[in-house]
Amino acid sequence: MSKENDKSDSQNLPASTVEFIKQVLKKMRYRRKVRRDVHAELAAHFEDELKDCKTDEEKEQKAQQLITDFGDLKLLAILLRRAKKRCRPLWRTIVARTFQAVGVLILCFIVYVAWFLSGKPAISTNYVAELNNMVRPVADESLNAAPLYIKAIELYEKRCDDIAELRSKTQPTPEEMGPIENDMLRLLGKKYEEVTSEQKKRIEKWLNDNNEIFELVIAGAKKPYHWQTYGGRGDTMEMMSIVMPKLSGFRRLAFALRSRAQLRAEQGRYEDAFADMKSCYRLGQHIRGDKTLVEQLVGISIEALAVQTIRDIVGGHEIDSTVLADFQRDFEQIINDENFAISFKAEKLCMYDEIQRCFTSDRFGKGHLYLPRFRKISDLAGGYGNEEGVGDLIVAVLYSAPYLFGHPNKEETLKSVNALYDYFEQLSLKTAVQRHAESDAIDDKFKELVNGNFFLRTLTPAVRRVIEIGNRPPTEVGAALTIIAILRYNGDTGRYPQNLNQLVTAGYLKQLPIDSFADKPLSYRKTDDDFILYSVGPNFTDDGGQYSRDSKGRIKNWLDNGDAVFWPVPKPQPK
Amino acid sequence: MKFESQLLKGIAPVVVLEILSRGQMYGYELSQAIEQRSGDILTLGKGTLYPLLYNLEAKKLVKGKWENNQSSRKRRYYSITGRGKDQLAKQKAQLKELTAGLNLVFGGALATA
Repeated sequence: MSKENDKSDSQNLPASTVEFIKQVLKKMRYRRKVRRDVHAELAAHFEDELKDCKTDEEKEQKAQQLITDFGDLKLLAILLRRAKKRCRPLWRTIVARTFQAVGVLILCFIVYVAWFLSGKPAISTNYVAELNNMVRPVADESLNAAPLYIKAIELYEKRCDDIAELRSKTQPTPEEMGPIENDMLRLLGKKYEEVTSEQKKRIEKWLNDNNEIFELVIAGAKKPYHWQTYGGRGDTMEMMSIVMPKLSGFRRLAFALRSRAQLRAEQGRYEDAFADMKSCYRLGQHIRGDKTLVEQLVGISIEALAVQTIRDIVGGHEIDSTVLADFQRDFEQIINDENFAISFKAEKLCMYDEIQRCFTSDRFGKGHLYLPRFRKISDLAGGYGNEEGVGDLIVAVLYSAPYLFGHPNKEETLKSVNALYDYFEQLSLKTAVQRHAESDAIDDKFKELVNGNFFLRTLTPAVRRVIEIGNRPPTEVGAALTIIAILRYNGDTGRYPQNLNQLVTAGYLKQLPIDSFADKPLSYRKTDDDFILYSVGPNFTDDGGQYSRDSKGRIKNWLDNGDAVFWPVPKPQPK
Repeated sequence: MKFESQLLKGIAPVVVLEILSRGQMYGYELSQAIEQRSGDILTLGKGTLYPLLYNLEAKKLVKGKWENNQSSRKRRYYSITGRGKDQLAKQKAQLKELTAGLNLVFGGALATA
């Protein structure tokens, strides 16, 4: 029935009737076709009732009477609607109910999302302050090496004109940085055997002119403690943004000390060279401890630099046994009771800080992931990056949705972090061999602990790699002491020992050096006029003292091929 | 006579079915037939008529269809279905039994002279 029919239906009817029918249909609020049918029926009924009326007044009067008989307009509309709804076929009922159900679910979802997103994190603990408390021993400031080191670094940077010039530029281009020969910073960073004679003269002059720097480092190395105060960037005290206190400066000092030691060794001043390396090693020791992982790794690298340089010096020069004995004694004292295990305490504080920032407070949303912070973490993990425009934002929300709604809450994540870091501490106490044997179990355990937790998966450091790096220092230190002991033995007896036990028996070594990657003493083999001393390395396979090499064929210890050979010290290789 | 609405409530459907069982009718025609055949005793309110018809249609006791009659206007004629006839028979039996019971209660006072 069309609109034209509607008009024709109402043609012969009084205006009040037409209006009445119109109001009934309006209040009925149903499908147009059904309303048209009802319209036609009602119009027909009124027409039939009024057909005997002769005048318009009579029609109008009777119409009014009929309208009254029909009763309450609203009630009539409701009854008609209800009855017509019952007439609809089953499939239409199912479709209508399904849409209603979906609509209700969507509405509930929207309400849930609004409630969910209304939560905000509550930052209640200053973990930077806690970290500062943790790293500071109960000691007077006069026993702290940090002020001396900082002064040395600042002096170094000031005295190094190239650095000052570079620092005055925001983004110096390679052309602006000048040719490498004029860059003292880079010269000091190069391996000593790679610099030319001319460059060595320049280095020597600079080192002599800046002796004050080294005096400060040496004085700092004599202090029993080292701690610095961590600070946040700007106004924030976020653990993720704490400013690493001058780490690059420490590395520069270590390189400078190395250069000076090698120069001194070349001049035959072996005691002075060893003194520099003891200070360098001590510098590395100071940076380690219960500090952030990156600091510990820098400390390890400085210690490794010192030990490598010691090997280079003893490998490149004939040094008197007495000098070697004195150095060995001093060095044993330095490493006495050194805790080589990696500490995860600072990282744990970082996780706690991130939990309080990444999860809403318990009041609203029951401690779920907080979207703005979650996005920042996702960016760290190479997530969806910076969004622009509505389309990208929708994609970002869809990307985040599974994590927001399905992710473990604050309490669960906190439990997982505690369990995870307890496990890391246990792992760090195992030897490399033990970890290697339990590799699959460790992988499974790790997966179990981080399963379904995007927060943990993103922020947890590469722990196994870090722990493996932490296994190197005791092996390297043991190797360095063993080499010195062997050279002393050779100096005193004119021959190399048959085995390492002879060194212990003869009093040249206090104990056999342990290979962390084999859970047994380092591998030693006497050759015709020399000896080989090596660790089986991270591939846990004894390759018979074969050097491990990188992809360019350069000898480099601690790779996944070959052994970590400590002696013979490889000769300088062509580039 | 105005009857209690609750009294008429149960009666209206069976009355409509009975009248439609004698032939199809449209709404106005049906309301007139109810009055006439009940001797003006029973009247179906206009506001009740069409909702009742639609409800009966939903229950498949009657079916409606548009037809042309003598006038130019189409009208919707309602006719009883087979299911409607069964329901009518059932309700008539119940009413008969009810009447008999009431008669006994009222000592035959409900029987017409």
